[in-house]
Amino acid sequence: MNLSLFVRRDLDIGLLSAICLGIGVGITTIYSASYNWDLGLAGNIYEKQIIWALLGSIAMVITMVIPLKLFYAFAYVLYGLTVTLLILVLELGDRRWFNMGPIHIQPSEFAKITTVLVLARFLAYPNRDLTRARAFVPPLLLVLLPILLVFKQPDLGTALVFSILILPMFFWAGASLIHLFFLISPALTLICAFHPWMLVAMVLLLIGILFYERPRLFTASILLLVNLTVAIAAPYVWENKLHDYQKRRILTFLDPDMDKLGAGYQVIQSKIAIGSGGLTGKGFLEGTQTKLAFLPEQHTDFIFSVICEEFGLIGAFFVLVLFIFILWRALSIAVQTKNRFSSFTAIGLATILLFHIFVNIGMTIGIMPVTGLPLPFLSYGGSTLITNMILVGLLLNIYANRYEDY
Amino acid sequence: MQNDFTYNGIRARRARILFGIMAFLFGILGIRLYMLQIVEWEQYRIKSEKNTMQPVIIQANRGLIRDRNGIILVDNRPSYNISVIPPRFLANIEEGKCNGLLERLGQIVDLPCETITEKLQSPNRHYYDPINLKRDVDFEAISIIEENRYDFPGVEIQIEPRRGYPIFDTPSEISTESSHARHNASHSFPLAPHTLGYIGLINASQYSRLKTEGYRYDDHIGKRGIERLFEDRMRGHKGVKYIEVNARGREVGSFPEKTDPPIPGEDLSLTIDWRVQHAAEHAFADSMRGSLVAMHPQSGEIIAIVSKPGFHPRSIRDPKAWQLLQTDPSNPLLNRSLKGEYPPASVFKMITSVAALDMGILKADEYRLRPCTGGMVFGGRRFRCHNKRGCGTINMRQALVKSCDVFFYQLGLKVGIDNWHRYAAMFGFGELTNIDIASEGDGEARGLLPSRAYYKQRHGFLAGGNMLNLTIGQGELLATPLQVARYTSTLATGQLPTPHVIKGAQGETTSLPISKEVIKTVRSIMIDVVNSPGGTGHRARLPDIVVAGKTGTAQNPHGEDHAWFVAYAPAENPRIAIAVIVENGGSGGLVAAPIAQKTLEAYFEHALPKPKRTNELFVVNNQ
Repeated sequence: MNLSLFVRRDLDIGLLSAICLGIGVGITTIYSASYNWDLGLAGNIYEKQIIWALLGSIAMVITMVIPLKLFYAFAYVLYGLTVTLLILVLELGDRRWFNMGPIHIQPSEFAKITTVLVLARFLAYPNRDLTRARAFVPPLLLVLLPILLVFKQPDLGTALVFSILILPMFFWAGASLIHLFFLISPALTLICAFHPWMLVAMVLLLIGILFYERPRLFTASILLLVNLTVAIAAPYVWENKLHDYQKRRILTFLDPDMDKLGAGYQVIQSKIAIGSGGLTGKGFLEGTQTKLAFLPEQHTDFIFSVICEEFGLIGAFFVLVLFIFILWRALSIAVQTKNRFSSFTAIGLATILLFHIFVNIGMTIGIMPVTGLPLPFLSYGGSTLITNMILVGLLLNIYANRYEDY
Repeated sequence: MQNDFTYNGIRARRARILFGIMAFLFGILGIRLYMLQIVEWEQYRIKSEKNTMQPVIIQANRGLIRDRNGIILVDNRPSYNISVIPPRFLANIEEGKCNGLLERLGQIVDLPCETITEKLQSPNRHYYDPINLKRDVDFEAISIIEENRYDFPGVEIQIEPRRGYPIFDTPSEISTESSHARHNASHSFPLAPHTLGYIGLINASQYSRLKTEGYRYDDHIGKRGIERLFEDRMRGHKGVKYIEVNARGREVGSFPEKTDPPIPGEDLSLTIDWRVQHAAEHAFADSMRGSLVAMHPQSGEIIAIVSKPGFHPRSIRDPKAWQLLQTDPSNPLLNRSLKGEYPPASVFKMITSVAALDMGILKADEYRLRPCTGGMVFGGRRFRCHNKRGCGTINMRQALVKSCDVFFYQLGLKVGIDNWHRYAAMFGFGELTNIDIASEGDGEARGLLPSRAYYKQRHGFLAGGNMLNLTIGQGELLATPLQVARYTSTLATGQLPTPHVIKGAQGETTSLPISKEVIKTVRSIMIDVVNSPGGTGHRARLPDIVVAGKTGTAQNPHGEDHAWFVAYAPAENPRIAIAVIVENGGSGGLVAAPIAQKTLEAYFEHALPKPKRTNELFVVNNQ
């Protein structure tokens, strides 16, 4: 236990107040989202969110005082535990949750953090030579396991969080941008595989970069092989192996407009809510889109739309600036800490936050698919709020111990 | 220090790049928000003011389920729901208070007013969605609401497709024999409820998992059986139409050009023949618990699959009835065909016979074993034959026809547990059948085929007495009716099929490494079991068709014996293999064989081409 934590110098007041502000804005907006004009009062979900925030604060303080050494020592154990939970939830639970009376425990939330820890532990080992392809393999496998398990739930959005995680962490470890391009090339090929010219362009680009970079023959051939397999298999699987309903599910994911009733309707209504907010908004509790109940899921996934409708562009930018500040704090914590493990952890956690923020807000304004990823600190929901506060607890812990090397 | 990493300069450079990427992403969001809220504000403001367009869901018709001849087993029919759109309705009442309006509504739908207020507050819904107060209401309530619709703003009548069972619902299609049985509760169920399954309201955790796939919080979803397994294919895709509403939420216009019609779900065709299924279900008396599985032995197509007692799929709508079903000691919800595990008893004796014949231990007509005197002493214990007076000196043929236990005790010892286990495993015992409706569906039981290793692990050693019990199909041995039906198919053809219920889902068929002669010999014996004078299976005889069969009476420490009967027909060219068990039914020949006979009769009544009786194969060898 580090008591100096409570000394001003060791507490990142800025980050902490930004988080509190974010949660406060969230609770206020949830109040507004559940407010009923006819009745003149709000539902009780904002009270529940306050309770979650209090529980989250406890979780945050506990995370702050656990010595970082322990996270380092138990990184693989924690990772193993959460992966076991992910398997168990597929078999025994309700595929995503363990139902314990009124409480749902969602292991994929914890898996995000433990995957960051295990990657940080792996990459923190001093002599990782990231110019060699083989150094990429173990972390890729470490992250692939939770991806597959979460994908099977099926929770595509969260599976994507895991996939994105590794890129900035590799970058932070010193990998070159070209290597990172190689890493994501199968995903790019998958997207290009359905259009002949795009595919040709992609293959030429890949070959060009291979010639420029000249990796080992073995690495280069594996890379080409993987990309060609993806390019050939993807259209085949699409045509022959997928049922119509499965294709439709993928297509509506990519283009919500196809599903006029579900995702498409949500996005249209969300855009009307945001657009009609204008510069200054319609005022607190005055949003017509939300109050006349055109906007679904307004207290969870589409909470940003409520802010935009009632507080306008000013409110929206306020939230954006708040998030930029939080992410900037996370980044500078990663820069300042002396310890490699802590530094990688901070980068990974920042990535989780950034991905959630960008995909959620992108969804409400119609530039990202509807994934069901919540907006950190603002969306209603106990398990995400508590996980995010644990995440902040870790960041604050790293900040407090930034001069400590172990 | 360690390396470049701890050197802040390089870290800071990489951090600047990451911050740059982040700023770029936030820039995109910011620009897009600026476009929406400043540049296009006017346009969205107008849209928001005119936002009187509301989507109305058009339910998609769920796929139908047909039998092998295209006859519809499950269809859709309209039912009426009374529902409320809360924002419009709540304007008239104070929260949580039961005023006159709510009381009146409560009287009409026959719900206490507290229940209504509770329902109106359910959180998991899209705001424009009506909340169902009561489903499937009668016409009287509908007309009262319709007449007084201006007194009940926000209360609506909705038509919703409901699952219907035409074969059960229209008596004219059912044969006269059963129309009098319709008075009897257990007979008035739709066919094969365990296999077809049922749909029910989506529960809270399913909803939160599936809401991104277009489910609404009070949608129906397949809960069990085929309805659950093929939910994705059968549910179809909802359509939507848009209506224009005024400030009070009343419909004032529509936008036909925006309508997105629903896509109906896929129909499913089963291999089940409803006429056979019907005959089989009615062959069970009401009080009977048990199961019947009939399949096409070559392809593994299930022709009929019965589990008794049954239940009505619609009982799930009625919490009281559902509670009764769940607590009923006879466990009507259990699919006994796939999940019931029973000792197979004497129907299992063919395994020992096949092993002995195939290994050349004993010929079918040899008299080499000691006579049966009503029992035998082994390891200091007396093992009895079910025939207390003894069967005398007999050969294998007679032993199977009379189902002599002592003969098989001796034969089992000669074969040995390892060989016995090897042959039994060939016939698929102790393993999943991999029927298409089990994996990912409600599952199936594996049964239990004990091996030497099993006893070593359980008891530390294998006692000789264990083998005596196993060889007559008792002891720890357990099998599901489906496994026994598949075993019967294999006895008929020499090939182990993979059973399936969905048309066209044929799985693989394995040929057993057993000589054709052995199969033929066992067949001739099984023909005798049914057709020879005094054969235990004589109650399964058919007038024109040679039936091969075997009875079984499983001792049950908890009560009456279980009655088994297995059969296939026509013996020379098998087209149907069947397994019947009646729990606590008593003697297999007396109780189970007639059920099999009625089912076979129904099958051959409709089967084309009509099989001819061939007398050459009718061998009675009973010297």
